[in-house]
Amino acid sequence: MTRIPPLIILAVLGAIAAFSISRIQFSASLFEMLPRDLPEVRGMDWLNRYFSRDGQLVVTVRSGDPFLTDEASSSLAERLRSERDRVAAVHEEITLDRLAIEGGGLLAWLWLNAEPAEFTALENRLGAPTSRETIDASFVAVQQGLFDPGTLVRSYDPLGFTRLPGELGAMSIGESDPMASANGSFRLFYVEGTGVDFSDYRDAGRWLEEIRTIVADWENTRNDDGEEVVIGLTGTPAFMAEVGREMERDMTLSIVITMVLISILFWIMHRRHKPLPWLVAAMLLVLVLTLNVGGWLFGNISVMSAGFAAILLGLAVDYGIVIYREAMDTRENARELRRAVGPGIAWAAATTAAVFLSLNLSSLPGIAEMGNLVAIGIAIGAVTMLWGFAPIALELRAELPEPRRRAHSPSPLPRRIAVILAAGVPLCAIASTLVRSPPHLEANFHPFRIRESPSLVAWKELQHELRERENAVPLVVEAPSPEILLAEMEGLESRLETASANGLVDGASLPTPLVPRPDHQAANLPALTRLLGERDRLLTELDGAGFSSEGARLADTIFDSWETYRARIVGENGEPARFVLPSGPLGEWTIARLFAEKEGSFAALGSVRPSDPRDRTWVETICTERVAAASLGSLGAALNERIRSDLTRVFLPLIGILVGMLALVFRNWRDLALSLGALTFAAAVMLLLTIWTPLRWNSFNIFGLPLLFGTGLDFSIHMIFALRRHGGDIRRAERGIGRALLFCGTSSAIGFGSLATASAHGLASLGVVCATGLLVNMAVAVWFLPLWYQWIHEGRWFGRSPAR
Amino acid sequence: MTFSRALIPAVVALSLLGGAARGDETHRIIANWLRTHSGVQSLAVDFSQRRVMKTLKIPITQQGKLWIDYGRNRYRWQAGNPPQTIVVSRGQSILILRTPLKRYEERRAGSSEMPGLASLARGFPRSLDEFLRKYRVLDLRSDGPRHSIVAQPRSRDQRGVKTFTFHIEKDRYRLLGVDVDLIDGSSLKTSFTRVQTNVAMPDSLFAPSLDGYTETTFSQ
Repeated sequence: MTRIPPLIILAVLGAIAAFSISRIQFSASLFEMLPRDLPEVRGMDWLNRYFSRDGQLVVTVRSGDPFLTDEASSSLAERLRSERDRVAAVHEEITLDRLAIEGGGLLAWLWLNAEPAEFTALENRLGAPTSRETIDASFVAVQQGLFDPGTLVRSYDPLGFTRLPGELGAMSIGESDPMASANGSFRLFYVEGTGVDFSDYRDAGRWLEEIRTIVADWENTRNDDGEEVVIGLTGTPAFMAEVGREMERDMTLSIVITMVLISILFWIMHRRHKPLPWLVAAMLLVLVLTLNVGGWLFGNISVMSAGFAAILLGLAVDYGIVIYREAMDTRENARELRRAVGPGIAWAAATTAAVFLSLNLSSLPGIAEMGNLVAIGIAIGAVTMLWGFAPIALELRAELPEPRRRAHSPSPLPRRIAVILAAGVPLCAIASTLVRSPPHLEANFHPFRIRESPSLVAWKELQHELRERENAVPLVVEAPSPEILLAEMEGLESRLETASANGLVDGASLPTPLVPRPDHQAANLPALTRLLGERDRLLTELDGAGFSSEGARLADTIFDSWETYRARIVGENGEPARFVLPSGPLGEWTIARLFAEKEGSFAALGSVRPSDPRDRTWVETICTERVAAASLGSLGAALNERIRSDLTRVFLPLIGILVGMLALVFRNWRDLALSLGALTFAAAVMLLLTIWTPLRWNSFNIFGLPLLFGTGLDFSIHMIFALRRHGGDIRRAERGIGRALLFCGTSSAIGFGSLATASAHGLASLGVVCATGLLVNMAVAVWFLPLWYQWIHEGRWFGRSPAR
Repeated sequence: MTFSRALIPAVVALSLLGGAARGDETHRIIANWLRTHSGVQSLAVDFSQRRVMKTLKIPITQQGKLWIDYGRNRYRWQAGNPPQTIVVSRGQSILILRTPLKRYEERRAGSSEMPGLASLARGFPRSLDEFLRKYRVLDLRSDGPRHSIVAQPRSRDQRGVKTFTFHIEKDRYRLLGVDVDLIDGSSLKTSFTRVQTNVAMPDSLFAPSLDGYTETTFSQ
């Protein structure tokens, strides 16, 4: 078998792995991993599902002069609009004058959707002879006034369609999603891309660079008299491009560093490289089999679970290292080798798998799925290594000359110290939690935040400048019909008033006037039909009063839109529509920001400004089954509560299962106590590190705990079995399994440690915690556990270390 | 080749210097124009206006009068003969009267919705610094007996306006007229037919009678 060049094996398995992975359905939704009963999780999921702005780049414009900001913003927007190969549309702030000039479809819809009493008032105002008075008054206003936006609007809207009724008359349409600061020195607009796949971060990155080039060219060609205008690019496409690029760089750098360092380490410890490709091939095989079995059993696999399962498959590789080390110690054939190391590996795999399967008790769906995948992977890994890699290890060993027996370096610790530390360290850890606060999850931790991110800087500036957005949390209302949606929004308004009176929220905004009202549209249809009959008369009156075709254009567009809406509602060209949405680019974009229909469900987007975002009282007060808040601030607190309750629900049964499995494995109370003691000791060391050093837990690196738990368990089982095999001879055990564990622990620590330089906070923190924990597990298993084993089995207190 | 290479930086430098010189010239003209108002406590201006609106079929021409009392910071603007619209500043508020309709509206002073030349009168600068704070100078044109200064307003309140063009008499630096170009292509050209300085301004000029008038909101 080893005559086949390993690179060929690797290439074949790599191709199979790539093919398999391409066939597997991965779910990229992070929210499916979190508890659905939390309003924060539902809110973020709904926000992503209904109001995702994946393809909308946010361009920010800032200067010291409001007019300059306005002019620069308009100029840049116009320039970007002209780039039709890259830009599908540019959306600027909706002002009244813009609404008057471009908003015919939207205005028509707003009237159709208004209260029937208001539409009747419009019909009366446009009826003869009142319409003539309205038109004459508009003419006089246009004749006399000129400098105000109101007069400009009046000149394009002599019939007064922009004088909207009810809440819309009192508020600006842009109020719920402001696009300019109060003093006008900061503005933003949205750019929709074309010719780009925004789900591919590389494509998004390429498109972003092209936009940056266009902006730079625009800056060079404009004459601003030296006054500075600062342009920022932010929003989902910018984040995606940056995050994707940085993660790719991080992963590539990490893989390269890891491969190089592990190769060096393997050479130092084994003085050869030939086994490495075979180990990688075995790992690829385990990965392919695990993902395929997992995909077959579970359907969709979340990207997070697949990622962690891949990491945990490192345990399977460790089995291969253990087999290889034992093979170096003169095993005659594969059967004998399996008989020697098989029980240890099998029990280690079974115990670890049982522990991970107990994660199905967790309330976090993602944790349960990850546990199942890891259990499958561990089992497949053990079988693959024992039956697949063991013969190869023997063949590789057969090619070697008789190994030189290197002088063994004993444990650096005297046994007495090791025994004292076994009790002392856990006691210190307990005392530390009393002296200082126990470790907790960092609040406000953003795992995917990139360090030194230009798009994040621009986003923070945006949040700061648009005060209505600062501390604003998106509120999403979801319902199976528009009627229920509106009823829910009414209930929400009432709860918001109560919350405001109780000081829980500082303000809120709901897009109620912009949600379709099938009842209003149906009720207004007769009046609308009558008004359509007055169209020619009204346009004649406008012409007679002196308004040009430009002055009548808005009215014309509104009548055209009404005709379209009427035809849709009565079903002239097909099925009658229950309700209509506004036509035209401005109308479609305006409504899409605040109302969505998807797969038979309807959603509306509002916002709330809680007084204390992290205090969940406001969430519990205003959220229901159909109302959710996409609040990162309180999500951390909610998850912390949930994890705390999980600790009781999952941890205790997990301990029970663990003790049971270990009792079955060892059938010896001393070895059972040793294994549990090693885990406890390692946990105590980590506890001390997180209390007394800058090392901290957060909502991302906490997912490294199962890995640390699994490796600690594995290492202790391997070492205890080796000690048993060698009759308690520490020297022989450390020469064989000890070196294997040294390599496993160090190589895994190298792999995770290389993530410490990652640009994403979450990855970096995961790398540091896991590297630290793996080194602790390794040190405990290699240097402490053998001494404890000797002490507990020989019953000697404060004996000397074994002779050299 | 060497001569050409030396020439290029010289041309660039001259262009820059020329640009700077032109800027200085513009500021000098503005300063001289505004200086003509120094010591002036009041102004009475007769003007004629021609409005070309994209939304109207024919241009509108009308006459009007403007009184500015700098000493007591008040003004009165009226258009039409007899007056169709009267705008009077009353300290914290602005009074707008539409005489044919017998209706009036009182608006907050500083509101963006200021009809006609009144908005210009409200904040007319008295010095070069004040002018440059309110307007960004785009161009200076000289045409016959007058200079034309093209400027953009810096105030967000006037974002419907694309440019103001101030026409200044070359010899005596008097303001001859103002052209306003709106962003939609409409324009308002105002020519001052008579300008009187330091005329008496009775209080009654700034306190029109509201007998028979109904309060309203003209934007509705």
